[in-house]
Amino acid sequence: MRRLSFVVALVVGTAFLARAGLRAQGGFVDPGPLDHVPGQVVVQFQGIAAQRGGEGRAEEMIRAGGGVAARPSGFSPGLHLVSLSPGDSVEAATARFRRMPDVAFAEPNYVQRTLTTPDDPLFGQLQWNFRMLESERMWDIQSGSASVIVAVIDSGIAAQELPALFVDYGAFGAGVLGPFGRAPDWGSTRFAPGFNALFGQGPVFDDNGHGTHVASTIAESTDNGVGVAGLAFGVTLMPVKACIFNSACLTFAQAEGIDFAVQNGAKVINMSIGGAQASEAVRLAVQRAAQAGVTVVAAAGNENGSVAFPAAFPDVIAVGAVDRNKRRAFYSNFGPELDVVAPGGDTRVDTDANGFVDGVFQQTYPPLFQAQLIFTQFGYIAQQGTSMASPHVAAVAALLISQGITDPALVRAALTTTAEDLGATGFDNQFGHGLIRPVEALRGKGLNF
Amino acid sequence: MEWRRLALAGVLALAAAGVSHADVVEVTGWQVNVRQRPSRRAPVIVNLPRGERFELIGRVGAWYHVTLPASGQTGFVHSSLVRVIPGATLGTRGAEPARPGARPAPTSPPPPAAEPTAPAPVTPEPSAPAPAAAAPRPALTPSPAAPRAEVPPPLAEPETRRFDVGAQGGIRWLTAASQSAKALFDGETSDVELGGFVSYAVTRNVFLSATAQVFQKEGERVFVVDAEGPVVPLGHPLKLRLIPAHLVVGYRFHPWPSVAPYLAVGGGVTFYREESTVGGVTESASTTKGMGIAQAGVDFVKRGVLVGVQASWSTVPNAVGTSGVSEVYGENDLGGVCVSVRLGVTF
Repeated sequence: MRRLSFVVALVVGTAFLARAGLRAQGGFVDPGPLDHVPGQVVVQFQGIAAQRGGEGRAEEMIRAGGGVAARPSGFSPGLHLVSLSPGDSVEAATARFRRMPDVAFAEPNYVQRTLTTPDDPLFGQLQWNFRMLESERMWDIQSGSASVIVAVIDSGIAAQELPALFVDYGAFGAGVLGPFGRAPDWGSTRFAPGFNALFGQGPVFDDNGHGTHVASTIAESTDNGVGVAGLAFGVTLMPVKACIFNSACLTFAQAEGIDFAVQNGAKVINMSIGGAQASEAVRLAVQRAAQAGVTVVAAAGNENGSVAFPAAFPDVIAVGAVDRNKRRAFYSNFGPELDVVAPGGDTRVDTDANGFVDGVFQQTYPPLFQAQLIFTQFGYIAQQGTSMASPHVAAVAALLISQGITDPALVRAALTTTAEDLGATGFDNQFGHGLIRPVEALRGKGLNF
Repeated sequence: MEWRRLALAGVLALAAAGVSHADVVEVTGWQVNVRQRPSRRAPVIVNLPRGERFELIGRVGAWYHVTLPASGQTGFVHSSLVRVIPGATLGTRGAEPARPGARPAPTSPPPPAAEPTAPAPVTPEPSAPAPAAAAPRPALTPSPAAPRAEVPPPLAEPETRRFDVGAQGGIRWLTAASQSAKALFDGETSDVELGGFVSYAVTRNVFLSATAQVFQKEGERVFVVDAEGPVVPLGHPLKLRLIPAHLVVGYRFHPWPSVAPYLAVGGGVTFYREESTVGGVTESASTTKGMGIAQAGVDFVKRGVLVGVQASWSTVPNAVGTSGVSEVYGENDLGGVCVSVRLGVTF
C-alpha cells in the first residue's frame, strides 16, 4: 500500500459495491472460471416498479426477494443489479425473484470472457490480416468518417493517461490500479466520451489490455509512421468498460454499456466478449440497439464449439476466425448463428517463416507487464482469437456506414452477400457466409459489374 | 432478292414519271372520247375504241395531249382511260377483238416494270355521256385546233425525295431495365439521346434508313440486397453509354404532298459501356449486342428540308443481367423507348 500515498485514490463504484467489497485492500483475486458474480442477481421489474415514482415498490420487491442493496440501470427502467445478503445463493435468489409477480426476468450477473487466447509478446508490424482484406485498396475507397462512432464494449481503452485509482471489483477484489498510460499509436485517432459500465460512472481505463488491442484493430492511427495500422482509422472510438482486469465481462455491465452506446450516438458496437450463458438483459439491450439502427458485432468464441452469446443472438453479427491460410482457426466457434469470418490468427505457427507468429498484431500492454498490472508499457502484440476477428468486421461495418449503408440489416447483408465463400458452397456452419471482402462491399454495384 | 427487284422497279418508275414526246398512248377504256380541251365538258372530237394508239404530246393535269393518227389533229384524253407505252409504234394494236375486262399486253417488249406509273382501270370516263357501244364510229372530223400544250411539270406530285440525311435528338427511356436504371440514376430512367440518320427512298413508299445514336447517363454505384430491398447510393460515380446503330426498312404514306407518316422495323447492334470510378480507380465493362427496333413517325418535307418526329421501341436482349444491379433485378435488356425530333435535308 505504499503506492497509495503516491496516487490519487479515486473511489469508483456504487454505495452497494463499496459495502459489498472492501475486503482485501489491494488484493485482486481471479477466482477462476466463475459462471456468475457471487451475491448478485439481475432483475427486471415490470408494472409500477418499473415506472417513474415506483422506486418504493421496486425497493420493497428487492427486499422481499432477499436483496440488501441494488444499482438501478441508468438506461433500462425497472432493471436492477441486486446484491444479496452474505451467504445467500444466487440460484435460490434468482428463483425467488422469478416467482414474484411483476418480475419480467431474473438472472445471475453472468461472467463472460474476453475472447482472446494470450500469447508470448512479439513485436512486429506484420499485418497479414489486413492484407487478406485488401486494406490498402479499401482505404482508397473509405477509411472511415469521424462522425461514425464505434463503441468497444470491452476492458476499456488505454486512450488517456490516468492516475492510479482505487477500484472495488467486489467478488474479484479491490485495490489500487494504475497509473494508466496512453497507448502510443493513437496519433490522430478520435475518441468519443466513454462509459464505465461496471460502475455506471467514473473514468474508463483499461486494466487488461484486451480492449486496447481490439480498439487498435478498428482505429489505430494509420499513415502516421508509428506502429501498425487500424482498419477504419477515420472513425471515432467510444470506450465502454464492461470487463475487468482478469478478462471477466459482466452481463449487467454489457447491457448498460450497449444502452449507453446507443443513446450516445454509436453506430457500431463491437463485443469481443462472450460466454455460454444467454443473458436476457443483454439480449434485450442488443434488440434495442438494432431497433435504434446500431450494428452490433460480436466474437463467436474460442471453444471450437458452439457460438457464444451475445454473438448467437439474432440481432448480432457473429464473427468467427480464420488463420493466415483462410482455414477456420483451430479455436473458432461455429454453428448456424455464425455470420462471417475474419482474420483471427494462429499464434502457434509462423507459416511464412518470417520470424513472427501468425497472430493479429496491435498495440496494447505486453502480457508480462499486464500480468503485473503495469499499464504504462505498450508494445505491438500478437494475439489470436475471435476477439481479434470481430473488430475487423466492426471496422468494416463502420466503413460501410461511412459509405452510406447505415441500416444494420443492410450492413449485415452487405457483409454477408459480398463475402468470399469458404468451405462448403454457400452458407455453412464453419465459415458462415465466408470471409468478409470489404472492398467488394464498399464498391457496390453498377449496372452489370 | 425480291426487294432488289422491287427497288429496281421503283427506280425505273420514278425515272419514267416525266413523259417524253416520243411516247405513245393506247386506249384501255372501252370507248374513249378525245376532247378539244382538257375538260370533261369540252366538245368531243372523236370516240375511239380500245387498243387505238396515238402520239403523246404532253400532259395537262390528268389529261394527255395527243395527236390523232388519222388527221394529225390534236386532242385530250383522260389519263385514266389510256396507258403510256414508251417507245411503241403507232397504229392500232393488232386485229384481235378487245376483250372486256382483259388488260391488253403490250405489243412491244416494254422496259422492265415500266407499267406502274400508268394504271389502267377499265372504267368509263367519269360522267361522260356513255357512248353507245354500238354507235357508229363517227368520221374523224376536224375540230378547231386546241392549243398545243407545252409539256408541263406534273402537278400535285410529292417533292422528289430520294435521300434524307440529318440529325436527331430526343429522350430515351430505359424501359426494359427500368429498375436498374432507377437504382443507379436516382430514380430516373431517361436521358438525352443524340444521333444522325440517312435514308434512301427505294420507291415512293418504301425506304431504307440507317441511324446511329449516343445515349449517355451519369449516376453512382449503389448497394442493393435484393429486388425488394432499398437502394443505397455509395457515391462512386458511374457513367453509362449506349450507342445503338441500326438499319430499318419502312413504308411511307403520302396523305398530303409534304407530310409523310411512316412505319419501320429493323435491327442492328447496340454498343454498351459502363464505367465507374471507385477509390480513384476507374473500371469499365463493355459489350456489343444485337438489337431489334420498330419506329413510327411523321416527316414534314418542304423545299428539301425535312422536319420530323419519331417514336421508337427497341430491344437489346442479353446485354446485361449477369452481374451488378441488373442481375439483382433480373433485367437483361437494354432496350427502351425513344422519342426524337429529326431535322435533315432531302435530295
